Parts: sequence; C-alpha cells; structure tokens
Amino acid sequence: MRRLRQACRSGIRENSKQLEADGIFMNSATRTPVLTLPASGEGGPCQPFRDRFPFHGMDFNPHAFISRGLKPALRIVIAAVVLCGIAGGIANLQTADAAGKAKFNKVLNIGDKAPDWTDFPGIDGKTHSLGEYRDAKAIVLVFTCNHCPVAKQYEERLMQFAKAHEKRVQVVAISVSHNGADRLDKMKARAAEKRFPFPYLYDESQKSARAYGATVTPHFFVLDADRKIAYMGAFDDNIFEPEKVEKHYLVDAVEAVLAGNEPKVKESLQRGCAIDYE
Amino acid sequence: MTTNSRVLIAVLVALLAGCGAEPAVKKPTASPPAKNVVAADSAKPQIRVQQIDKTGLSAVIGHLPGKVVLVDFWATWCPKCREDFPHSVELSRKFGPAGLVVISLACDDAGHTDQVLEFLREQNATFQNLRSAFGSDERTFEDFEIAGGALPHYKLFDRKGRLYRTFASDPEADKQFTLDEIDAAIEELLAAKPVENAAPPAPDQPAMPEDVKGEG
Repeated sequence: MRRLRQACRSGIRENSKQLEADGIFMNSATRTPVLTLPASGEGGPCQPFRDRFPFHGMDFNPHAFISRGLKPALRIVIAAVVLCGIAGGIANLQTADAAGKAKFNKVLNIGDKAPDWTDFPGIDGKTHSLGEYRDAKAIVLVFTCNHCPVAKQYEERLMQFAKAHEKRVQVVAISVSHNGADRLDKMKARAAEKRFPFPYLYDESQKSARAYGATVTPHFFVLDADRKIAYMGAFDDNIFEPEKVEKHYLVDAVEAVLAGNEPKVKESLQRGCAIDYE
Repeated sequence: MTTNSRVLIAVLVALLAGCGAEPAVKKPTASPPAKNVVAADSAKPQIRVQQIDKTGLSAVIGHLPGKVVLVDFWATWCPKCREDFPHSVELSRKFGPAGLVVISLACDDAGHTDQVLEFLREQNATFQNLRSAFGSDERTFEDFEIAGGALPHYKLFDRKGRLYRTFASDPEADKQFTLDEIDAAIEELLAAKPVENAAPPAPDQPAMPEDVKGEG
C-alpha cells in the first residue's frame, strides 16, 4: 500500500513536473493543475503580451493570446474548454429555449398555431386563403419579394423543392412589399418568367408578415399537418453558394414533419432584406 | 515605421485572425501582418476594408473614447443599404467635427470583397470600413446581434462606448425606422454633456484605424 502510494506520488510529481514544464502549475495541497502562467520570461508570454496590448480600457483578447503564446498542454486545456463552450452554444443556437420561446422570432414560437390569412390576390388572378390547402401534409410559407437579391438567390432552390414535394407539400409565397418593383403586376411578370410552380400572393396590408413575425425576405415557415409552426427561419446556411450548403434546414424540417417527427432544428436565423413595414 | 506601430499591427492582426473559427481566417505568420488586411490599390481616395469579428469591433469602438460611434451594417446584396449609404457618408461629414465616428461593416462573403470596395469607392466612404469575417453567414448576424437577420441595421454607441440605440427591422413596430430617427439620436448624444470619467477626445493618442492605414 505504501509502495503504491509512493508510486502514485512520484507519478504525480513526475506528471506535475511535466505539467509545470508545459506552463501548468500544480496546487501543492490538492495536486490539481492550476491555470497559472509564468509572469515573465521566455516561456511566459502572458505578462509581456499584456503590456504590449495597445488598446485602452479594453479586455485582454483571449483568442489572440491562445494563438500566440501558450504552451501546448495549456493550449489543449483551453481549447477543450472553449470547444465545450462552442458546442453548448451551438446546441442552444438553433432551437427554441426550454420554455419554447423562439430565439429569433419576436412574435411566434415553435408549436404555435399558424396565424390564419384569407383572400390574398395571387398571380393567377384569383384570391387564396390558408384554409384551402387542407390536403397538404405540410405547408411551406415564405415571405419573399421580387427585388431582394437574397430572395432571388432562393427562387431556384424553392422551385426545385416545390416540384420534388408537390404531392404532399404546398409551397405558398407571399409578398407584403410596397416597393414599386414588387407590385402585383411585377409579381405576375416574375412568376411567369421563372415559371413558379406555386402560388405567389400579395398582402398589401402586411398583416400576415407581422402576424408571423417575419423580418426579412426570404423568411421561411414550415406548418405541420395540424398547421402549427414546426420550423421557421432560413432555407439553408449558404445564400450565395448553393453548392456549399451544409445545413439544409428547411428540407430537413419538412422531411421530419412528413415522417411524423419533430424537426431536429426548429429555428434558424433568417438573413435577407429587411421587410419595410409601413 | 516605429516598433510600436509594428507591434500594434501585429496585435491587431492576431486579434482579427485569432478570433475566427473558420479556417479561411488567415493567421499572422511569416508574411508582413498588414498583407492580411485587404487593401485597395493606391487609387485615391485610399479606401480599405478590414476583416473583423465581434471582438475586433468591440476593440475598434473601445478605442474611440469620447466619440459617438455609428456602425452601419450593410451588404452589397441589400438594395436599401446601398440606397441609404450616402446618408452615412453625409453624417460623417456633417457631425464628424462634433464627435461622431461612422464605421461601415459589410455582411458580405470574402468572395465579394471587390464589389464591397468598388461600392465604398463610389460612395467616397473615407471612414473606417470593415467586413465581417463570417460574410453573409448566420454567424455574422448572431455575433453582431443583427435582429431578425435583417439589413439595413444600425447601432449607435455613446461617448463611453455603450450601445445607445439599435435601428432594426421590427414586425412589432408601427413603421420601419427612418434615417431622421438616426439623425435625431445622434444629435441627442452629441448634445449631451460628455460623461465624467470619459476620456476626452485626445488627438495625441494614436488611433488604431490610422495606424493600420499607415502600413499600406
């Protein structure tokens, strides 16, 4: 037993020596590593670096600090801590919080009943209402417009999606824009030019977009079979390089809804041109 | 170039590069630090774009004690931002002497830097111009807290560097914010007595943006 203890101690000592050599000091009472840095000298970049830090009244930048001066072992420890933090952040990032409160939408939460709307004029010369799509297993509602370059970037992706899911999913595009380039006659022209395979409706009152808490064009919402909000946010994670998309938020959310599941990612941060509420 | 400014630039670049998680963010290695700063040609006026993240922006604002700071978050892909940009240039000209500093921050991908520069030159945007290290990615909008992911977006900081007002898209507001509201808020801040403890605008202190420019 004594030998074992000694072996342990010497092991700790050796280990602590190694750690000290790596810039980590052991607490002599608890034999736990202490994140203390040498105050100066060749192996102690912290203090001199802080002295060189030129900005007034500002916090020392830990990122630059990590990248510049630390010994490998300490770098690993800090990297692990940072990674944990990042992982936690990511886990928290795209979902509503525990109370179900949306992170990026001021008005709607996931699971809320989709606000109803009726009698919007469409590019087909008829009026349309949310209630008429009762056969669809899911509805993709997008607030969009003609003139916004981000909205244009997603036209092809949305058309492809609509065609691939036409039997079970209803795509509905709504514009609430008062911009001259977005008036109903211009919408008709754009839809004809691009051959939109979905209704493109005009809500001049802007009430629908307000009710959904829409902030940008394009802003996407997935409604499940009960017409509750299952997903809201962006179509995917890369606006300008579709070939580099890694997170297919909307497609994944619709697939989940069609399979009778909850989407894994229920909310993401939409990006685009601000909706000009008047 | 003095040793001090050399060190300062090295630190700045380390700060900018070290904060980015994406591999595209260059690390300050062998090449002279300022090469990492996207620089315009020697065309006049000298207009540059620096890549930056949230920590870097805080640093820039923190280095402007006593100044009222307006950050114009924009993008080449945002028509209203382009339309309203001349207003920011005008604000800088009009209120600069009274203590306003305007900074532009483009939410454009690295691949669009040329378009960003072209636009800034067209606009004669001779103030400090930044571009988010995360481009038009969602990370940009989360890190800089651009509400609703919507551009245009402005943040106004008081003389102590504290966020005073945000001008953002808001589906709950009666109307979208107006440029007049931004003007009024700036005038409010400029009219307010400089807060005690705030360092007065000190011309003898080297301003970081100018040091960076000096390198190019």
